[in-house]
Amino acid sequence: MPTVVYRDQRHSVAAGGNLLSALLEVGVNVSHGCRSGVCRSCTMVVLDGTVPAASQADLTAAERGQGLFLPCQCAVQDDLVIGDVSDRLEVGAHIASIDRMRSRVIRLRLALDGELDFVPGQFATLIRADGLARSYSIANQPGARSLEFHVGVVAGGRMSEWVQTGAREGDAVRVRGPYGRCCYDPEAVASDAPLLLAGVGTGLAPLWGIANDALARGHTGPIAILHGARNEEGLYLDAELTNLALGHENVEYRAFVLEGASDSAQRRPLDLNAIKDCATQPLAAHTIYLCGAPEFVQGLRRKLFLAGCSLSRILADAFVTASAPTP
Amino acid sequence: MASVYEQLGGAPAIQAATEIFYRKVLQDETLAPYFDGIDMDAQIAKQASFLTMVTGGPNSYTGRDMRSAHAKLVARGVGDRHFDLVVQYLGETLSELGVPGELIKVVADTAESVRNDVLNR
Repeated sequence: MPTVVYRDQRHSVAAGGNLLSALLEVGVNVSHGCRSGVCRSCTMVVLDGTVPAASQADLTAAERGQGLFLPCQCAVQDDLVIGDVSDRLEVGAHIASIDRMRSRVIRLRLALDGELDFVPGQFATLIRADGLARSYSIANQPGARSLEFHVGVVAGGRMSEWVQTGAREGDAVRVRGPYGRCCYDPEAVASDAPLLLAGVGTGLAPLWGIANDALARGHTGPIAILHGARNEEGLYLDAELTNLALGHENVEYRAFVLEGASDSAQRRPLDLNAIKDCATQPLAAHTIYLCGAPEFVQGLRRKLFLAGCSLSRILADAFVTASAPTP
Repeated sequence: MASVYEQLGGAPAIQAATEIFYRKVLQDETLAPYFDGIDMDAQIAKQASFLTMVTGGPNSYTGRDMRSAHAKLVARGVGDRHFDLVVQYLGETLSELGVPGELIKVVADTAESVRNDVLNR
């Protein structure tokens, strides 16, 4: 009889038995919904052992690579060690550099003490020595044991103000993650399909990572990168994106500002109409990435869905700002 | 006889049907206000569970779930008129996906069987 280990507790499960049912039976409180592999609410992570392919069939390559699987679709065959999605390894790190970019955005680079296996577009949680934790999107490409975050300085934001004024190169921090499925998935997107990447504020960090990842994987279809900011000062990756577009025939960069004059940006909101104007094919043919403030991401996602885009082709990452600490 | 769920193609087909169905619901002026400010992902998951149930797929829906899930909506005025629209959009969705009329009837009857639970009667 296979053994399943969860949080140091060993459970025997009948060979071929359904893992979700078995866990619930022994009192492990797994949040779950449809039990049909659709709602994904029971998603867990396999830490050791091999789960059946059926339990990962509907996940992205990135998610499978990170060991995510659906226990409701898992007929247990072999011994497994499983955990919650939040049970990721923490990695120690040191601050490698702190550079002020244009606007109130800081490029924070970390040197990792160990491996962190991420896919561009994902985010990770930065944990200060005293335990203060905030999540940031990863802007760099994997492979160099380093992480780059674009930290938007929020007035009264404890982590971002520390990064701006208190943090020093060499400071020890920890990183937990990665999380998120807002990534380029070559299995789900044809290499000649059109991509639309739209972000506001520091929502550009994951989009920068995704665009570079798509190019590195040989994506030949059009890649439109749309950045919205309050004013020109907020277009903090303007030079890099202009260069990226100059260097790649299939990359287009468009900027949008709400106020003030700008040489490079259109003065209009980055909304559904702006996206439609950038679309080279019917909207529903695009894979669309949305990153930034929740009201931007969620509002646009709904409008795009109603405009005929499948939710499976709208990958979104809403940046939720931590609520103010109670005095 | 295979269930409508199996004939449609199981979970992936339900996912596609759910999007078409939910888009119709959100575009209906009578129904849309009840979905304002609702998390779309959570809602899609619930709609998928609902479609799985009414097409005879594997599910764990119970009458009690139906009652508790809709109690607040019933208090806000959801009634037979809204239920009828949902069943109508369900039928239109399946019709667009090429499901034959007699099977749509089976699905509609299954939906009908939970009307009183949904409307807390």
